[in-house]
Amino acid sequence: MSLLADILSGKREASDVKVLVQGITGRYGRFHSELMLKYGTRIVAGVTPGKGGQEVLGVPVYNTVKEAIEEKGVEASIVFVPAKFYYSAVHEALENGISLIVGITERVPVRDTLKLLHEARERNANIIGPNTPGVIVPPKFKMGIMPPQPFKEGCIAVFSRSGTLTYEISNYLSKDGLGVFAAVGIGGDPINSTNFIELMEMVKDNPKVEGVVIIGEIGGEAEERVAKYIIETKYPKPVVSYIAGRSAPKEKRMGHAGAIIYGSYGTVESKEAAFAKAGVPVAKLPSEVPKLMKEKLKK
Amino acid sequence: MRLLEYEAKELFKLYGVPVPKGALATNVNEAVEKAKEVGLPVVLKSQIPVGGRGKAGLIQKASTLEEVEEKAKALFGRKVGQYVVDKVLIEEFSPHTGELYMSIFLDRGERRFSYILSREGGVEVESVKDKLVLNFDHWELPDEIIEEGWKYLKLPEGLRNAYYDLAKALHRLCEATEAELVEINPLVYSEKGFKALDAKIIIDDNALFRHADLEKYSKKTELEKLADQYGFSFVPLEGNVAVVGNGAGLVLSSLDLVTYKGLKPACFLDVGGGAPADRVYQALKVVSKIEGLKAIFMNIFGGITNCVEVAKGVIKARDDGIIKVPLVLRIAGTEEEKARKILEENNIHSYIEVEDALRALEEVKA
Repeated sequence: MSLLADILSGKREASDVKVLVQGITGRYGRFHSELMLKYGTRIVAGVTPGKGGQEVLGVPVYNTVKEAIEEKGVEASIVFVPAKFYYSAVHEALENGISLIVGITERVPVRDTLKLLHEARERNANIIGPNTPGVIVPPKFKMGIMPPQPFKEGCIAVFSRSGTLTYEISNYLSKDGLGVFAAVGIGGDPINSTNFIELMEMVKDNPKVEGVVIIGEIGGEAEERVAKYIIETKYPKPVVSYIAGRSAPKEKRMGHAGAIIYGSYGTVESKEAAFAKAGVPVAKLPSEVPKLMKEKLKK
Repeated sequence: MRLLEYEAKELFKLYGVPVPKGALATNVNEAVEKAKEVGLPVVLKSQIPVGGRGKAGLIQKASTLEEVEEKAKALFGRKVGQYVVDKVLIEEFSPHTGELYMSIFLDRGERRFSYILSREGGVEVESVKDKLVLNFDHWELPDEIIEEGWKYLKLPEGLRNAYYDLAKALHRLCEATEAELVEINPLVYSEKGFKALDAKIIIDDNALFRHADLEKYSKKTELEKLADQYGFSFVPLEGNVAVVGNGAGLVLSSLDLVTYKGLKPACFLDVGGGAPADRVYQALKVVSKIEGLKAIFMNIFGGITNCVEVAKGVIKARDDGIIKVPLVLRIAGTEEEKARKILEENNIHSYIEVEDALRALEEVKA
């Protein structure tokens, strides 16, 4: 099993994981490192080539991932480098045995994502993203850029293609008393290095997770595949969904590189029809998600 | 980024994918001149990025110069959705034995690329049952896959080498331009070989920084360029309510809600995460330039974004006279109380719940 699977299945305490930040000296990387540290994430090292020897927020900075591993024993890495350097940063992390990588970077060429996914599979590692808000396991583990307030510790796993909608829907779940066990953004790009199904598989036997919320959007066939997977595996936990983009025109990228309809491929209608077959209720408004989940949990 | 047919065919030629002889015309006189060059009979093809051009009458055959003139007159200036025909590709007529389909496509579900062939060309591939879909890792299209395609197509043995060359050329083109899709539909053949009658290429926008040579194909309006400069995700739409928010998913969801209320969005604008006051100000500046705008709907869920910054940006835009239409503001999340107080002091109302904001938006329109 991979590190991510261990965390999401409840076998491993997430807040114990030693985290590396690649790109810690950049404005964005530093800003979010501070917020992650404040939340409780064990950030023990940073890497920026050429800036080894410095300290950022009391965290030692190394030139290479190899040094960070040797000195601090890091297991997971969160990546804030610009798109141009994303491939080499993640490649370096994988090559040196990091088994969980969260790629915050936006605008990564799809071929770079595909190559890295191929490399990750060969090493039984997981990449989340790119173009993701990251992963949060309340109350103490956050490898990501999400604000902590919407995520109260609870029993729902939230897997999403969108950042802000994750915050908004998690906020409703938290206010409604269900709360969040873990929230993972799979990324807004056409290729998600870790997809919905892989994540659902990881929480499947976790007794702390009572239900799964899938926040989808137009483009691709991720939601259709989830529906098929639920039917084929007789998925043991209730699943509720919200899908954004009902009103989107065809062949326009709606903010996310992956949010684009070609012909009938990637429409909300197609995803809704697939979910209907799998018995997954689809909320019309983000605020309806907790209500639909509670109805499913009663049954 | 989707290329027009004539642009895609430029690239096809460059990479060795055979295309019919053709030339581009931008007016009726040019159409006649180019038809002479190309040689009659010709096909006139409207250059707009929509499918089903044949059925819509946007592709016409002409056997005489008089016919070319008459048909060019009918095509130029024709409106199709948001597009107006202003370029027509004049192409030689290509007699052929049969029509096929060939493409290389980013298969999002499989997270690989696929090589797709069909013995039925000229129709939408999604609706075709008789097809072959083979997955491969994008950096190499293996010979075994090309061979499997050859066996499936069952073409005359004499076309074997031409088929291999074609498949390899299409793959080279796909990799060199970092395309998400390269498609030939229909791909026609005769005993002389293959020809790509149509051409479709969609480039991975995120890879454009590695391809300065492809930038010339970008077709952005002034407003889109301005939004690009500021680093916003911006999509112009046809309605009159500007939809602005932070985060692509939230803006997309807001677009749905506005539409659900029977209103028509004028644009999609994502200011991005952690926007300070000046970015909010710039966003309002961009949407205020949209012609015929009736209202602005701004939906903010502050996470990294501080609502106070949003409030400051909105107030400054109002004070500078940039906002000329009613603004309906929903603001929640980080520092929302403080932001709401500052807004109230400046006589700008804001809503906590999306539903309330939408009701207010409906009233504005009424």
